[in-house]
Amino acid sequence: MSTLTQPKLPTSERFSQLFGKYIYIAVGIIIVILLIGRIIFVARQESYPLSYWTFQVINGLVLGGVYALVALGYTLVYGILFMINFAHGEVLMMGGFAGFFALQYMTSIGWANGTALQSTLTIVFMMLAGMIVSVITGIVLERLAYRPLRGAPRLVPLISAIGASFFLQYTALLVFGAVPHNYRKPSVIDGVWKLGDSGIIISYTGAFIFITSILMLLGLFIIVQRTKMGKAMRAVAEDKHIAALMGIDVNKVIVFTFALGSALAGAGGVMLGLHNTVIRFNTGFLPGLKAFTAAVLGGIGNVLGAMIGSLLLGLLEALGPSALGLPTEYKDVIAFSVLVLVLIFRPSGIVGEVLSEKKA
Amino acid sequence: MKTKLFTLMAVFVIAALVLTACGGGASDAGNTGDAGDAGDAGMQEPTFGGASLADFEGAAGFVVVAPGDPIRLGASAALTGPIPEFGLDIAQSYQLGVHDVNAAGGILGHELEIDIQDGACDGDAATVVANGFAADPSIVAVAGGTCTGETFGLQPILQQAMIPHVTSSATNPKVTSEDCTVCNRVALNDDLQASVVAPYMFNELGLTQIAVMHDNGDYGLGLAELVQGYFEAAGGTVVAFEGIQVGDTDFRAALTKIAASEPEAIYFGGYATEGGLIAAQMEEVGLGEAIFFSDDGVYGQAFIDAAGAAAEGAFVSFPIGDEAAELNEAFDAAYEEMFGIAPDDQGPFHAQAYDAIALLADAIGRAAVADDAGLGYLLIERAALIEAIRATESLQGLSGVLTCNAIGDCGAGGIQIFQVQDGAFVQVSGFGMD
Amino acid sequence: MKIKDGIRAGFIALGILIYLDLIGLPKTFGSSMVVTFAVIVFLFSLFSLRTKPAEAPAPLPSVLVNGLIIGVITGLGFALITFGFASLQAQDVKVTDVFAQISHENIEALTGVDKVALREGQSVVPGLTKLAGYFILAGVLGGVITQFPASKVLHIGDEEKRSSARYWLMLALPFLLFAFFLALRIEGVDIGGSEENSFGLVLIYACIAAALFAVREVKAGVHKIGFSALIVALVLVIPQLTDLKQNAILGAVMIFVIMGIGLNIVVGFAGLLDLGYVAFFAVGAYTYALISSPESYIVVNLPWFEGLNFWAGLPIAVLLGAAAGIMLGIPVLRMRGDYLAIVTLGFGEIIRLLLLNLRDYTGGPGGILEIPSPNLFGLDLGNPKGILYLGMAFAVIVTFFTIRLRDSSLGRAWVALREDEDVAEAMGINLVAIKLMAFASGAAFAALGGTLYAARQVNIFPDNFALDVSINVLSLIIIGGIGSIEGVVLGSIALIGLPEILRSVDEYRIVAFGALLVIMMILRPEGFLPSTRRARELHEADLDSPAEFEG
Repeated sequence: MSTLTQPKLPTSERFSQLFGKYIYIAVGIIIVILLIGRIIFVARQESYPLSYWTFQVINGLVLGGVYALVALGYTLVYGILFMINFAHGEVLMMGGFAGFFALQYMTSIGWANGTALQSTLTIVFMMLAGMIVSVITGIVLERLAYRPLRGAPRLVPLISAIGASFFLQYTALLVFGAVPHNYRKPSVIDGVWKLGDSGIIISYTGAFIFITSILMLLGLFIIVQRTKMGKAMRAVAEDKHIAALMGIDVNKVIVFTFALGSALAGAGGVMLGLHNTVIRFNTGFLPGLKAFTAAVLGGIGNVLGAMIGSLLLGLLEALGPSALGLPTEYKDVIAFSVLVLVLIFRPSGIVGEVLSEKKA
Repeated sequence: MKTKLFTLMAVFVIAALVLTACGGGASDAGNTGDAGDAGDAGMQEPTFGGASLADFEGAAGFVVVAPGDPIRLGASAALTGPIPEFGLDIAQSYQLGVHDVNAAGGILGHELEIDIQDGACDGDAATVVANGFAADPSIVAVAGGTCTGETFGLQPILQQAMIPHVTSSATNPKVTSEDCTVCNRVALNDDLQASVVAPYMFNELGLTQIAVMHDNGDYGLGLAELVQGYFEAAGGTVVAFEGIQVGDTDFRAALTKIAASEPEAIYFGGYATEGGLIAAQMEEVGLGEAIFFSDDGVYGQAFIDAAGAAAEGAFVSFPIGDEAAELNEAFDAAYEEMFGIAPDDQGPFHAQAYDAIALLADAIGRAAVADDAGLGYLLIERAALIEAIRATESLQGLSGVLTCNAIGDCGAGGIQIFQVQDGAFVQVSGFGMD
Repeated sequence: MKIKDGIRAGFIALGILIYLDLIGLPKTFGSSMVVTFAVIVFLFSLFSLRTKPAEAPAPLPSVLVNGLIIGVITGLGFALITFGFASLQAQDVKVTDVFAQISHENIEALTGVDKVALREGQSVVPGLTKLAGYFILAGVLGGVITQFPASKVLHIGDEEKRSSARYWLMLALPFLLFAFFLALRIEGVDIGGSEENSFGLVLIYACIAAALFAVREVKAGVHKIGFSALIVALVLVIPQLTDLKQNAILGAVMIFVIMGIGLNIVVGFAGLLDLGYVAFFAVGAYTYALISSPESYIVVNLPWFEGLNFWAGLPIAVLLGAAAGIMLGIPVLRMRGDYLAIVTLGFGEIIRLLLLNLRDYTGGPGGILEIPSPNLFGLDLGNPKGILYLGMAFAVIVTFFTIRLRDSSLGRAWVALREDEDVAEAMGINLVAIKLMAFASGAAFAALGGTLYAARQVNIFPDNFALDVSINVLSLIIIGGIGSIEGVVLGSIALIGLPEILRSVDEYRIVAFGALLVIMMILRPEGFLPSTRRARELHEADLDSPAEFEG
């Protein structure tokens, strides 16, 4: 809303608007002070050692790394189509299943626990399987459930996405069964490092996930920023009509975006499976919701924002309860509260642009 | 274009109707409405202790089963919702139980039939399911529900309709009470479980400092609080009490926090999937040395599969001891033959579910009255059936010897403690067996 | 009609059949699925080869060839896949480890070869040949039928007579369906066997739905008054004729009608997308539970307080609900569109998690038990029938308020807000006030629904207030037709009532529900009974105006 078009309001209205603005700032400051006070109070009472905090930071970063992969799918699609792809968590779940079956196969031929090379190849194979299946799911989803709705009001694709989410989740329940599918870690990433006497432990899987996530995110960044397709994506995100006039095949770009987001989700699904060693029909729901939250936290539609938001959310979940002196079951309350607070006081997210009228 | 698409949609609807019609036709033929055609001309009117059929037919409080008609049970199982694999396991055990009762000749010459509905582990769904049973005058008793919330949803309605139910997995102490005459269960009350497990940890394992975790569910939290109470009463200290959320799979943050208080063991109240993941993730936060101890919801192959190598050495309490092992082996074989999957792969409560059917069949057998002339009619008085269930004594079941008490707790034997050794559960203590 | 089209249709049909196979229809429903699958092939062939009513049918050789192609692709493809699964099972490979539904029963249903015979090496080829034969026949048959378009076969009278006949038929339809329902109750009439109760309920749904459609079309004046009066009488009498289960399901439908009408104000009238609507439902239910149940924290800890009854608890719960609406409304005043949706979603989750975690006050996952049922002048309403009548009464009250609000200046201000926030503000509308009014009234209605829900359930748990309630309510107002009250009723029947009937086919109903939402959005995004205004808007929408009511 630009100030130029601001109409002249009656005095009472103007007063209430001004008042409202100050109220927001005042309430924001009060909340921040209260939170800091609480943290200091708890820190003096509980006095956890530094190694404890380091440990939780590691937990948070690994969690955040996985969230980031999923959050990017939301953010890419949102950036281009302005729609919340509610079924994205299910795309992740499908990738997780594909990775599981790939792992089963590699285990049966003895590679998963074979030599270091075989074991590494197993992981590569799993990631590929997960990504391919997720990409197929994502593209089919776009073709059947979203493309016919292009141009419809925003509620319509949202409902369609919700429908697709239910459909995929319960299809997986029926096709693969209700029993949880348990991953067995390939030998090369099965184990932990113990860092001296500090008590800090880093699992191989955790390190693998964090590093791979960062690499994939860098890859994505390069695709979006440096390649021709990335340029086209950004153009379509800016304005579909003009982009089409410039000779960009909008449909192709949208499909590519879905494919890219789904590939990351598929990799995320496999990594989640390796990290937490289980995949089942509803595995996608919670990470999907969290990743979505992270995307919004960072500023939806913004690639960098999604990464920062995800890492921040991961850290919040790991550190928040201890810092505030609450039991860990409050971690989701903390995550959602931060989301609500950030959106109230900074609606565009942490690094998000201030959305123009049309997009908001 | 639009009309064409609409027609396509119509096709979908028709296809759906065809499907349901097939499903409906396949499920069963005999039921409520056709009690009338048994009283056709030429047939002798049956009497029960001198009173004629008309006195009971349609009267609330009585069920009349015509010759050749089955005795109908209802069941509420969580086939969808958060733990569908447990619900499916229980539903299949019900089916096997009914199958076995019928294979042994049924009840007084009548077959048993079960109408399994999806209670979805949810009080809301259970309300509809229970009202369906209450509305159906031919339903004699109900098996289920799977979850505590679901069971609480069933109870007020079944109580009003005087239909007794037997749950095989709702272990919350509040499920059975003096106020509820229709409420029964074959699973053991959580209070008993906690009262055995906590002293065992303190006395036998010599643990003095434990952390207690729960899945923030009705069952897990209730049990965790009880264990905390009993452990502290026994003289130990609970150094941490933390919850996790079902559906979550990364519990490292909670475990790290627990690790900071350096417990000797973690007691977890909840189900197998989460239990297995906690056991697996303990090592990654430096709790590799701590003992993992859990409950009957965790007992089963699913836990060993989920925890992998970390399952080794974990303790679990469970009500079925080795003494019923032979019966259980036969059951497992029949189950796998019938459903193509081993019961332990799906959930822990199949033995109790099977016993729930056996218990009901036994009680119906005692409460049902055949007509005077032996025409094959059966009269079941609901009040008598409720009493008959409570009067059950020394019934050999898969979970042990079942005896019901005055408030409807029929759980067998006592709590046994198992330890995972070489990838299998081995009984290490037989508390309550004597 | 090119060959390529036939091949494409064939592969799509094959894909659908394989999907249905994998989700376990043959395993669950047995060998009848072979015929059902053939019918699907037939219908697919018919509808993909059919031309538009106005056009002449495609030439016979072309449709025959294409029908044959569809039949061959589906028949051979499906037979090959089943053959593959069967040979794997014959070698004792556990296919169920990957595809849980491809068990021996599946093979038996499709080929007639049972488990033992399969292991002993009996061939599945004869069974599969039969199956493929059916599919091919069905494909060709579908092609042939296209030669007889409906317009040719059913040629009835002139346009005027037809439309007059249609009008009267439409008015009569609800009563015909009701008569059919009554006929079911006659002793000796047995339709649907063990599913007779469900069938009866479907007739009731159809009757109400037909009435909702008819009441829009009926001419004003005597027609409208007479018709409406008859429908009201019919609706009032229904709970007397239905059984406990049917009433319990209709009661659940009513609770969602009340909530749907409330959310309709927020989303449909004011255009504020709320994904956390369940929060207010929870506030209503827990407020009533806390001040009424003898087991609740408040009643237990206040020695002089014995708990309120339903009628005293209801206004408190509704007021607190409205207050919660305003409390959520104030911080999100500046927010628009999707951001609003996300904040409300977060708010809904926070409320549920707090109910779960504040164990000392809310009972945590153990919920609050023994909530008293409503009582009216000594008449116990704590049974499905009583709750249903109560729900109907509440729905009427809520509808009355909603219509009054809609037609007031506030209602017009909401429309302006929905259309364009900035212009609305420029016109001198006090956005703060009207947004808060929308949130407050929507929340109050949800709290009303929640109170009724708590009284109906007797025991409530945090799990009853999860995200899917919000999603259900939102979906039902959209399926029914956003902005319209008849639409809410229809949507509740379609999304709450129908799935309850299908409870015995458990997981399939959720898959079907998901597919239905997608199909519905593609074919008729404005819902079945949209408000005329919304229908018009949705059909103007073009590529460049993705959101015309969220701002």
